[in-house]
Amino acid sequence: MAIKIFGDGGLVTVDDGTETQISTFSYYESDDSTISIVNNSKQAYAWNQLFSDIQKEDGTQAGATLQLTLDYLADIQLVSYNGLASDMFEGRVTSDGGTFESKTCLTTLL
Amino acid sequence: MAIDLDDATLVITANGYKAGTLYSLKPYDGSGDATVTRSTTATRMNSSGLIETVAVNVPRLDYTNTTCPSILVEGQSTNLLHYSDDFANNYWTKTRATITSDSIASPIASVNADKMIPEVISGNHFVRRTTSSSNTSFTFSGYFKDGGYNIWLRFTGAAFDNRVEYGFNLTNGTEIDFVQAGTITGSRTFVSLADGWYRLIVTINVPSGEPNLQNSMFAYNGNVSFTPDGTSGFYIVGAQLEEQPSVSSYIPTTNQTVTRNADVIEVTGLTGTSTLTETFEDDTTNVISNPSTYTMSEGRIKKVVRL
Repeated sequence: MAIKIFGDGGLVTVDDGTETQISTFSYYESDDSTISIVNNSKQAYAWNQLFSDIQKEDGTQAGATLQLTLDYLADIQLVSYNGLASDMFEGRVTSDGGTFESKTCLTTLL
Repeated sequence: MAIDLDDATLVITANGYKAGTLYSLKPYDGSGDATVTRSTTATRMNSSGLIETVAVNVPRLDYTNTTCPSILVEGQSTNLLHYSDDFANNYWTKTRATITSDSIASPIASVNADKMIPEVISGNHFVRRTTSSSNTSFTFSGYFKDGGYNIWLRFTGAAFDNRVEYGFNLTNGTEIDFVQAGTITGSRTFVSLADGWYRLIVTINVPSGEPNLQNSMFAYNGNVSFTPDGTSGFYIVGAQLEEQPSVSSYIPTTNQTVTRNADVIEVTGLTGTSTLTETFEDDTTNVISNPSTYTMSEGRIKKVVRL
């Protein structure tokens, strides 16, 4: 089964027919050809895919090799997590009674 | 350069705080939050460009001349000058000059600036204070604004021959002159602020054994000696004299000297091999290897990343 993985407005979207959006996202290479997807707490999602089955949003193959596929996923991961980090941080600070300032500046740093 | 949040084990930025805590962006569970200790109040420049007082143990996110804050970490310092916002007080000697208190809004929140107006008498016109100290290194700072005349700062020892002078054009924000004479040397700089305000900063080095430092603030109209018009002058607020070779954040005083204690910002319990990089506001960096306890360096820090 082919799945599409792409960045979508700061979220990582995994389209396996159900178009699931995941807010924390990582992956690991489990063997020479299979990529497993986990969240940032290292809890595995259900998908363990041959790299050749991982596609971009437009349906093209994410990478011609395992490494290129990992590179593509790394880009998605960076965009996704960093995009979410300021929101997650603001929530933690304010819920703890702290003061959060300059969200725009934090986003720029990330 | 973007922060690599995936590989970093600790990330601290100037964005989230409360009394005693500077929050870490990562780790997210709070285990990387820094503790903040400073047993006195302090001041910072807030996002509106106003200097405001910050409570005990609250870290300072400072916006001096920036739209994005830095974590301001300073050592202990004392403002030796009393009545730092009240030049009408008899603590300050006025010579051929009067003070109109609280004339206009100043860069200091909730504090209006005084206006020094030279009397219509030919001669020089100044506000003066002499400070007794055995120290050999001082930094003076004050906030000034054009009120019709420019400012001429003079710092002398017991003898006039030994002095530093700094003339500054408050209309266009340029230096008029800087003079070093005799055994006293120094340096100067300034910070431009909103609404035509300037923080003038002069570092003065005096020889050992000099008992006093005399600080005079003259109205200047092409010369320190002239016949004034009776209405023009200069605005002043926030005078500060520190016994150190660099300026620090403003320390307000009334009837005595005031000491601001040091900021101590720490993360404890770090383990393993790591490289921690502090990035300062000017993008210079300081790298610390394998810290078990990280103590933030003095300066204006934009971010801390541990890999």
